[in-house]
Amino acid sequence: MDSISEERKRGKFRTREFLANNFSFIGFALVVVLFEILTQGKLLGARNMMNIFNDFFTIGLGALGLIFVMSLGELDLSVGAIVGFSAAIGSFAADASLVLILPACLISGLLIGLMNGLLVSRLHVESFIETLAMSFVIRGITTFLLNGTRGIGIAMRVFDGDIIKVATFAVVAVACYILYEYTMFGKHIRSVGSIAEAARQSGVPVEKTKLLAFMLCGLLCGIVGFFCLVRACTASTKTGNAFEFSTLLAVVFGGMPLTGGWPVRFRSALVGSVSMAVITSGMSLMGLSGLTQQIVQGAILIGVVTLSFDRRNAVVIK
Amino acid sequence: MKSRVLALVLVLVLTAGLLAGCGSQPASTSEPSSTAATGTSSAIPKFKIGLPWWTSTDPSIVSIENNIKTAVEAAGGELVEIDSDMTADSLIDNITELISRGVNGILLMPASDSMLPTVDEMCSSAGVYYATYFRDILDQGIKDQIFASKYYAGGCHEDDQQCAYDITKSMVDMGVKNLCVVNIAKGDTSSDLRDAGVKKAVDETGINLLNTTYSITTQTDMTKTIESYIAAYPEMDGILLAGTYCDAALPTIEKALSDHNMAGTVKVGRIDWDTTMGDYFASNSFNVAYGGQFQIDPMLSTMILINAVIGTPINTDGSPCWLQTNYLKLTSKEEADNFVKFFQGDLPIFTTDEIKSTMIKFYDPSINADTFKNIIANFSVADVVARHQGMIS
Amino acid sequence: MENSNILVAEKVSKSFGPVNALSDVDITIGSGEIRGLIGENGSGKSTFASICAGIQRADSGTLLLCGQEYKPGNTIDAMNRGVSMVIQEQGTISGISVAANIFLGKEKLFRKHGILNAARMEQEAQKLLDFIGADFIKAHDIIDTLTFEDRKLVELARTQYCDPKLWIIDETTTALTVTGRELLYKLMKKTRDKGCSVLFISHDIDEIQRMCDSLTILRDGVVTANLYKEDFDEDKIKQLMIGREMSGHYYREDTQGTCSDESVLEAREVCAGILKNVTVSLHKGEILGLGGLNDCGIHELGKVMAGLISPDSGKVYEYGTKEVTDIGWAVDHGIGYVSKNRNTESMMPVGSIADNICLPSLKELSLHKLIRKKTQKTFAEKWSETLEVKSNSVYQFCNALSGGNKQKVVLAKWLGKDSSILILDCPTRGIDIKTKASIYHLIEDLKKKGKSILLISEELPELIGMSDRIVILKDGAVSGEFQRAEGLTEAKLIQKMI
Repeated sequence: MDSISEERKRGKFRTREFLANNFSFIGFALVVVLFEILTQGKLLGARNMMNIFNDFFTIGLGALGLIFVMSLGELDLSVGAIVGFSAAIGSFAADASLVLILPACLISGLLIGLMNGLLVSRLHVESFIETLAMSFVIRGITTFLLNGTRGIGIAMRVFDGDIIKVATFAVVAVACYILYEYTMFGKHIRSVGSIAEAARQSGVPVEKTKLLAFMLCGLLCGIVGFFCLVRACTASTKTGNAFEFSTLLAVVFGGMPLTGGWPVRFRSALVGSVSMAVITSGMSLMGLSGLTQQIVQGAILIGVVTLSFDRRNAVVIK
Repeated sequence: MKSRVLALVLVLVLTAGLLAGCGSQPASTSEPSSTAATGTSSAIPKFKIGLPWWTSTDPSIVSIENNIKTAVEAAGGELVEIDSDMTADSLIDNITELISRGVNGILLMPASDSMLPTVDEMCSSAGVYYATYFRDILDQGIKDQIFASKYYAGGCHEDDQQCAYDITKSMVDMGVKNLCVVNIAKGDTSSDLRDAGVKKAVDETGINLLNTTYSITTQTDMTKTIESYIAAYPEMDGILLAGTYCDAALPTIEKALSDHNMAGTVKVGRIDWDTTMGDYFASNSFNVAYGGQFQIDPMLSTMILINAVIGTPINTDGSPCWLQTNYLKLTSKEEADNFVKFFQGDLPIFTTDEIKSTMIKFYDPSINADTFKNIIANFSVADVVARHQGMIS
Repeated sequence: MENSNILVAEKVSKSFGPVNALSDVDITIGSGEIRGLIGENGSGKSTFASICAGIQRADSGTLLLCGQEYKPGNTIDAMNRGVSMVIQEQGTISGISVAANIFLGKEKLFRKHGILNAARMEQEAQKLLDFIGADFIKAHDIIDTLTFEDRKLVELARTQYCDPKLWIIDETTTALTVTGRELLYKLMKKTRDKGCSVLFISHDIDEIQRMCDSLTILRDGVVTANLYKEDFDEDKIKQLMIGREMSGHYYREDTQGTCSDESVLEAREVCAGILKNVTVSLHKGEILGLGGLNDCGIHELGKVMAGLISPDSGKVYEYGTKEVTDIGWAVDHGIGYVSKNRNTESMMPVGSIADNICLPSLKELSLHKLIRKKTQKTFAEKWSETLEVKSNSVYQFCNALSGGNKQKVVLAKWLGKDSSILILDCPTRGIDIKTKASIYHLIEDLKKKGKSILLISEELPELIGMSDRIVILKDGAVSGEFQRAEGLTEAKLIQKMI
């Protein structure tokens, strides 16, 4: 027979756990309700839902890629540069043949992912520095190649259709989910992110795992590059600009721990991206200026990181 | 268990909303019912104009916005602004959003020729008119396609190439033999044209074009560029600011020059006017400016768009109203001060009444392309001073 | 009236959420006494020690230090009152000097007008080091140049500076070699002879019996007994710790070593780091003990034989002919390696029991490249139960488990993989009696099933008790080999070690 204080203690414990575990959903619900009120109902209007989806589409794909890399405990700050680069390569491929655009985008993304992976896993360059440096290099190359902007024929715009995008996203998301939760690869990634040495001693091929994760992220960015290209039918040096911040913000808002490992939840990529898309759309509908929007995004980032930092699972001594 | 149910509910809500969005047809274009354009006393139907715009406190930017807003409201419409950084990707997103907010017309400055077919496809399928400003279309194929479009109302542009040629020649006349240039991003139509103009003048006069830097957007980058020019080219005697999106560009350049004691010895010229020119003219560290198109170009483009939207297009044969506005030349402090007072003050270059009486075809069916061309021909600093002398203290 | 008791704890209680770490604990320590404190993992001894040392606050109860009320707000408070504690883990701060570490938090003793007199600080520090018998440590040196043990000795100096009335040693001896331990024992006696007291926490019953004047036994947060030296009896102590009779032998019962002639894992003329031309061969069904002093290379040898370290020369062979190239190969070919660093190398604390257990066996668990959650759960539950891991579910994160349970998870992992060769490096370090016994039992079981085990350990009784054969390393080379025999003593082993 437990005393009342014991029962209350346990109850408080459970509420805290519930909040911590479902942080991403609660955040999402709060954001939707808040902006629905602030925009006087315009947020959830039929037309605006598609706007939200368009925003969510690119960020969501980027977030899926980041989940794999961040579960390793690494970062990929070059995602924006990869998007711009693959769109640029795609625009060149368009000159040869329209059919080659998609493969060109995918392969260029894969290649940069490969470079990132090799530098991080074999040469042991800190991923934060490496991907940041890579983003500068790739953006520079993109500017050099494009020398302005390049257009592709308007015919490709059919790929910007809603149905295609929804279907593509669904397929990619499901494939990533299966890869992450149900395959050896997914488990290996999280074990490396938890404690790489422990994973190694259990027979996990640590370097190969890191390499593949970066390549996967690059591939997904290539997909994003393709869709950016067909949406404006133009590749410019600004394509993919600041994409890394949107996606990083999205996964963090979804409750992703920066240290990676087993506490990572797959859903944080998706829920976080939707939340960010809702926030961006809401702020735009409210007519907030660009500067105010930045302030809000920054405040959200600080707030989320503070609230969701799980002290129990933080590895202090590595 | 509780968390799973919650998760499922939220996913369902979102999916439902998504499908609702997918399935709905684009809302019927709120094209205002076009009453016969016979100049009757019936009121102009309500309309909305969408404008992707920078967030900036730069007086030039603010005054352009002011002029556009006055034009829209003079005709009784509503201006819907949306934050943008004017890149192709951003503009496409902006247009999508504006269309979903039910605008009848969109005014934009295209980042490149190549994005125009996309814009046309989006606007045409939504039944929304669009007009351009500040930009020519260089690609003939795209130009033909856009001109043939029912929903392209037209727009203004300048002869950037001629302007750049003229100003370079002016600077050569002042004695410049080694010139450095700062321009906006490559691939931007104006940028390319201004480059071409400078090159033509340089080739003709045989002076040295030392370097051109593109796409500077921050003051620190501007300072660094000027300082590297000073360091790398001791023979430099002229800087042409052919174009920039950087705020307070001229003061930044002037400060960099005066820090190195070169103000006055290096001739400085710029395309596009700004509020700081006057003092620099007076101290002779700034020498020539071509511009003045900032306000009139977008304003007239807006009028072209509005007339199309309310059912009284300027050209009745379906072709877009395509006008070239002029670059005006400034060389003295007095002119510069007048510019600041009359062009960038609170009063727009054409007041609401002036607009109503001379530019809205709904009220005066005799207005046509020539009317607008006359307005352009008569437009100058002196013209605005004369019209508004009594209105500004 | 002069109160002769150094510490009087009355009805001290503390809980962490739903877990009661201490319940109405009464402990009285007199002056001039070395009091032992022993108990299984989770019995509350560390909690009690940390409350005394000012690291935590009790939820209820009172503490009297030399008759005065004692409620320290932090460790500096406690030190000012004369209570200091040395812990098991790393307690020094990298990057600064030995002297700075010793006087951490008390720099103002050497500060004049805001400027620190480093020279004087070093002088005092050196005096202290000499006092405790560690004059080979120089106060001037940066702490990172010292070995783990010497860093621990610096901590001893630090805690001795305040001239403690109550000196708490919390499971520190497991991290020390023979030299270090002797130094510590000397200091403890010095403290006791001065009239102050020592609270000595250890898992090692032999050590407790040797050093302590009296002993308090905790079980599940409650004091089960207070014994005086004359009543010390190993079996009785064990029973009071665990709550029931510890039947059967701790180690193996048999006295004859047995194994086949087949070599399953052999290091052939291996040179790596400190190891010089080492040849060691593990046979099928054998428990081969590997012993030596701390830096003699036994741990490195374990890693070399597991494929974790690539030897500079020489090779490691499995079954005589197949070369062990790297750890990935080793794991795939039936070799399981258990590191002595539990939390940082052999398992992932921020990961569930299931995640840890299934990790090496993922390929076997997958069907068409996919692994079903149910398959994982069943597998993890099976092996978790086989090893009697105490937990709510296999999805519980391991950082909540005690040291003994963590080690069980590690072993479960390799049992699940059905590895036929196990390299165990200090497998029972820092683990309570009960779990130790079950691990020894397990090792014996595995041997009977035909598995081969390389048992690396610094605990001589363990080596003597469990091995069929013992190889001793000294300074990186094989210096002696002993067969399992009734008369084998620690002394014989030590002779070959030093």
